[in-house]
Amino acid sequence: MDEPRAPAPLTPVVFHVLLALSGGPLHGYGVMKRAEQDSGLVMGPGTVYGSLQRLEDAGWVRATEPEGNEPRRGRVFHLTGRGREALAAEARRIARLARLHDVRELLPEPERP
Amino acid sequence: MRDPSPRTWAWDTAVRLSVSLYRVLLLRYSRGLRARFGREMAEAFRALLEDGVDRGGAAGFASGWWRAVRDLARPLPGGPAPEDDRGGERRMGRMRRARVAGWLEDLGFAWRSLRGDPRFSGLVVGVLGLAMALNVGVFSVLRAYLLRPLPYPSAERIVEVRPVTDVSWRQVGDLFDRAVSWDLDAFTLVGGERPEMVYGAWITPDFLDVYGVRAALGRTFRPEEADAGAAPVAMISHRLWRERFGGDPAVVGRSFRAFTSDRPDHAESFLIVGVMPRDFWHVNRYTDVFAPIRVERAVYVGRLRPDVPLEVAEAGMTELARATTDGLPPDFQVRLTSLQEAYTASLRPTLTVLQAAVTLVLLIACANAVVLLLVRSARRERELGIRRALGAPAGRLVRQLGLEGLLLAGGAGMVGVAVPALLLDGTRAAVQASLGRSIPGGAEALRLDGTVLLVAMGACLALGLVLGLVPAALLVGRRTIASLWSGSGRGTTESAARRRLRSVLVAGEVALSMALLAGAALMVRSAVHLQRMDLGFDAERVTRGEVGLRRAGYPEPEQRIAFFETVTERVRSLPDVEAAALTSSAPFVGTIDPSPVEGEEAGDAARRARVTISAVGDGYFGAMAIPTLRGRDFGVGDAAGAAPVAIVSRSTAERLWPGGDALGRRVRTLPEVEPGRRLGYPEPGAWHTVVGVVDDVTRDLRVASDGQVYVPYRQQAGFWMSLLVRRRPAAGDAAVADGVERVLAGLDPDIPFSSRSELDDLVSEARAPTRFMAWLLGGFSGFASLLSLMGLYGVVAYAARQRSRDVAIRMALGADAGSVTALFLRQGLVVVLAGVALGALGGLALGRALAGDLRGVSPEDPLTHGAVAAVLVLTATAAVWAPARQASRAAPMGVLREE
Repeated sequence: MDEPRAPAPLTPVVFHVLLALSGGPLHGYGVMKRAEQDSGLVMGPGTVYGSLQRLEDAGWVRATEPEGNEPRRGRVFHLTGRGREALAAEARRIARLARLHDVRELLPEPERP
Repeated sequence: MRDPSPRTWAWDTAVRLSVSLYRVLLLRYSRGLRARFGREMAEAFRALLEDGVDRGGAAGFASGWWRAVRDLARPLPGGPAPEDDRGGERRMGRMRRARVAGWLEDLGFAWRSLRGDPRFSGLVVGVLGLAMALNVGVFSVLRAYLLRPLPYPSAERIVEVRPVTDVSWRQVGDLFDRAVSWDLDAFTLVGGERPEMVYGAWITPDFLDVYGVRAALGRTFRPEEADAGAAPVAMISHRLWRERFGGDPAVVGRSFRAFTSDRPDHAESFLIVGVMPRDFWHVNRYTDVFAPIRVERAVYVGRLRPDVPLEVAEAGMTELARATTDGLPPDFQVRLTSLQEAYTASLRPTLTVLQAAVTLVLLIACANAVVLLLVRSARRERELGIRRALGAPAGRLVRQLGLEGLLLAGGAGMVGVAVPALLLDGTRAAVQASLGRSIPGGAEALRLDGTVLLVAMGACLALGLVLGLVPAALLVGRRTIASLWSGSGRGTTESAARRRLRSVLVAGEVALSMALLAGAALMVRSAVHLQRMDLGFDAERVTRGEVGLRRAGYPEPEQRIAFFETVTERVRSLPDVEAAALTSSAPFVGTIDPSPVEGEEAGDAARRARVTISAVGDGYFGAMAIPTLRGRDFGVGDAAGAAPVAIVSRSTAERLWPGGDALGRRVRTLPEVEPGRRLGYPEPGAWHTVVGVVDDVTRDLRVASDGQVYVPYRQQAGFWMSLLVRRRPAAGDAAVADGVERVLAGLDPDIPFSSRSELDDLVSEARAPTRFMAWLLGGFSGFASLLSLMGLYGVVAYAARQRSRDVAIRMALGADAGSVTALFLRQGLVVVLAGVALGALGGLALGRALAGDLRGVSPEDPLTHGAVAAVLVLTATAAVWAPARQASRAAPMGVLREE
């Protein structure tokens, strides 16, 4: 909480993809839907798979062949440990920013006489 | 997963097709991403669409597509952390930038290439720009006159009723939602410094409504002001307000006194209720007073009810006319013409011909530019060949040539819009004067509006495509690499296709120029004919004005004759005056449709003629310098009680009594009931005995007639006469007018000398449209010919340069200069002759299109067409000969050593 250096912020798309996957493995379309439900972020297939590609390259998510009855939708993506850490750090950063905002803006200074 | 049951077969198909399309669109992403996730992305898109359809039908489908398309348009997101992010964006940016940079680079290349050849680029841009400017200018005029709707509410439903019938505007409520009629009248305004006669119109209550008039000051009429017995009210024109009422802002509520023709006994007082807007035009430009109509009038114009089709209205009007007027011929038919069409009918051919002419100029300029580009691209063959050999893809070369074409066209487009934009303001008045009609929507309607600019942009784009693609297609189509291995590239066989295309283009230029030149020559001959034409009278130093008597003051013909005679005599005795005479209608004042007359002892149609009839006073022929050929002038003896007499002009005499003597024969007017004309008098007029024959005069340049018939005004004394006054050479026109006004004031202070004009000004105005056309067409065709000669010269010069080695060898082997010149001359002349032959046909076609504007020369006039062809062949020969001769003069050894 009191790190001297704030962790580098994630891009909103990446943050929301990670957030969507934090609830469990999903395929790309699932990520799209979950992100929309959670935060109203509307993404297309290009954005979702573009991000997943980079996240997989960075080792934050892992793709596995689907089990069971949804082969058509393709592979499902899991959050890795590093991915989970990055998500947590970003969530903390956002929470701290929100608190700062609360203190400074939402509690206005009393008017001077 | 959702249950797919609500989806129909149609939606399934739509989704399937969409996914296929999306697979193609995926090409936008990198190969890596496609290989890894392409199939899954397509599946995700399918799921997106299917869910969308399930949830929201078409809206859901559309939103699914929208999401994917927006995604396609965005750069791909970067990696998880900002560093990766930037990396990703950098990578993406590089790709996009590379693509953009490729275009920019080529654009820069094209720009530098054009700038490196400023004479070529300047010439092409200048010539094309000028041609574009002509087109934009003429098109904006065409649009202002013919294409813009008239500035009235529901203008498309306003129609003119012709022929004018006896059907009153009150009877046509079933067909028209607003029927308009008016009665033109002269209002003699009295009570000011001096009396002034102005034109006015008695108008029906709906008149202002149909034309959507809003008063500039005050108000329009109230319904009750049109009722019988209402106090007289009037609206005045903007001009009258400024000039007679000094622009008084409090003019509304003031009154003026005026004599009018239907209450001639005393001057009535009109209460001014409003001032017309400045740009209001209707009937004519001079209508200065508007007042509610007081008599029954036939309907002239009306706004059709929205639910009544034109044909139904025509049939209805015809039926009403039959019910109102007896004895209409069985084929009598009322025609309703859109007011706009009626107004612009006389301009349509002129403007169409002008537009066609400038379009031809643009085509010629375009062909010329392509020829220049071809010559230039052939010069650059080696450069492009090397680039190709070094690996530049053909597409890249095409792109560069295309961009050069677009740049040239863009430059031309800018010139083409800028020049008219700068000049249009200054030419509005001249355009209206030259065409002889004011612009329907007011002068301001002549401007470069959106439509004009859009058309200009379209033309510019088409030009760019032609200029870019034609040379590119020809160049890349062949193996340009060949030129690399052929030494300098000279002496190799040039692409036959390109050579042929050049020849065809130049022949086409020559042909179009020939057509334009022929049209212009015909117009010039018409203009010269009109200028030199013997009008049959002398218009020099003649002032003409109207003298109108009030019915109340001069009820008896004797009183009127006495008044007019006194005026004429007193005016004749003024020191500045050489001669003066009276006529009911002076030449070149308004247009009078010829009336039918028949000669005695002639029941057949051959003895009929259409003539203009005027009532004249004594000494008219002398004053106007019209030669009397036989018989006598009218005199005091030809009075009301005496036998009716007439003087006919030579053509009328020849037409009515061919081969015989006209003197002593009799002539009378015939009733006129013809479709398209006003219903005339039902009975033939009285027989008049011919007492003299005079020479023909030209009354009007537009309407042809079989001559003139004159009757003595003493036998038909009206209330209005034109007074024609010829002044002495040293006298000024103002002094004469002043003298006439003093004479009138001395007799009756309420009678003005109105509508004063100089006869030669009227003649000059009548000649203006032909002169204008001659100038314009002359200019256009001159420009076009210059261009085609330039193209011809360029092509021959280029061919000569191409074959200089060939020529050098021939000459080294003993060929003389003459035979070399002849070789090129022959080749050039084939092109010229083909062009001239083709152009001659075009010239005949253009002549026929111009036929309505031609005077004194037939559209097929062989002399004109022949002379134009000869001039073109001669100048073209010179344009071919110069470079051909130059080619033969090059020192053979010098050329060969160059290799």
